Amino acid sequence: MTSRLSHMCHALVTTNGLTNPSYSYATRAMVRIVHILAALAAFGAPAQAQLWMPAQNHERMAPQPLSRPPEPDMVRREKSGTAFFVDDSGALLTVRHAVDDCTRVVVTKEGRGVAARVVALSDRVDLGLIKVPKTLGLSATFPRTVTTAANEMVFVSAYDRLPQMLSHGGMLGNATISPSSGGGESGYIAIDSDATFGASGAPVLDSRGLVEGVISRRTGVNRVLAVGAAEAKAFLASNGIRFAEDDRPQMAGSSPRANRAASISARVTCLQN
Amino acid sequence: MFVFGSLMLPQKSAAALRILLLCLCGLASVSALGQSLDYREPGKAPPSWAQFAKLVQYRFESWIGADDQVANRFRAYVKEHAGQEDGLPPSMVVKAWLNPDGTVERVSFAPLTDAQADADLRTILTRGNIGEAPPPEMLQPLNLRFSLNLKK
Repeated sequence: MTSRLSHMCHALVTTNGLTNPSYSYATRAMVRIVHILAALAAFGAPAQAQLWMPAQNHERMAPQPLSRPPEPDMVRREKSGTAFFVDDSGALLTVRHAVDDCTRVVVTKEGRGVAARVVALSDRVDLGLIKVPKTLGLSATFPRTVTTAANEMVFVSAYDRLPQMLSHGGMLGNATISPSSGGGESGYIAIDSDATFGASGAPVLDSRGLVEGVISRRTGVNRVLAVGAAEAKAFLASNGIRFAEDDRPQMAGSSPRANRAASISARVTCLQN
Repeated sequence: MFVFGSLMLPQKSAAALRILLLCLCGLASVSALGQSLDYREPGKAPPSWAQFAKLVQYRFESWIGADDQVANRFRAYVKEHAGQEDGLPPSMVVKAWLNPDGTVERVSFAPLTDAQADADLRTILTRGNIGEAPPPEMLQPLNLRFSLNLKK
């Protein structure tokens, strides 16, 4: 059982993407048990205990069943990422790995949670389309002409980190487009950013407030890959979403991009069994 | 011209309040053809103005649809007096002035026949923060056309 739990927990904490896996109470308790067992094994505690233990005590021990103790009916897992509104009817774009294999998807924005349904998952790139009954924010605008330039300053953040940024007065930019352009992966752009867990699915906002990409996964210490705007637009169009396109600035030059990110973004939580 | 979506408010009854907002940016002396220099047709306004106006519209809808005493009372008034002489007109224009920090400085609209509803609407529309600063060059006030209808 120990190895099985260890494997399961390992699977939970390691992820390619930037989703934020978390444990339920029951899972956390099992993780703690695994840690205790692992510590005992590492320090050889059972062997020492046997040496200290009188032999007659061994003989008096009640027989232990060999079957596994009953496992909880449901080990609840969840992962969270970021999504953003792409129309006025409640459609949100995020990454595929944030919303696949979910029994339930919940979109949370400004303290309000709404159940969402998965509309489409891309086979080509790491994109997913979800929908809530009614929009909870401003819809994003994509560039009509996609021309990301190396070293261009952009803004990237997980939805959950935005309040902290806003409390410090917002931010114009916190990342740059990398010259390595997607690490050789077609349709992706590389971004030098320290974005961390929960940023999967976050919009990459350029200086005009346009969405240049969707954060997908980390590939280096300060390097993340984002699905480019061209792929994102093609995915939305193929699913009948009428998104906004423009090449003109969507916000004043001095306005913090963190505020626009907060206006269009939401947290997406994937509940798994 | 902007065409905004509708808001379906969560209510137990089958009826729901539908709010439609149309927005015009900037107003001072609007001529019959709307050609004044300090007035901008929505279609001719910069995208940053349009985006901000959409955000204001969304916030106003959210605040009117909020589940609190004042908003509930205002919606009940609209619902109970729909189509009546003392009810809300089919559409009304609300002028809104926004502060640089995103708060609503004040709103102006034709007085409602019910003083309590009048005060409630004013309270609702000035209660929160839009979430973004208005574009510095944007003409104010924003003119938002409300269409408050009951959807049976």
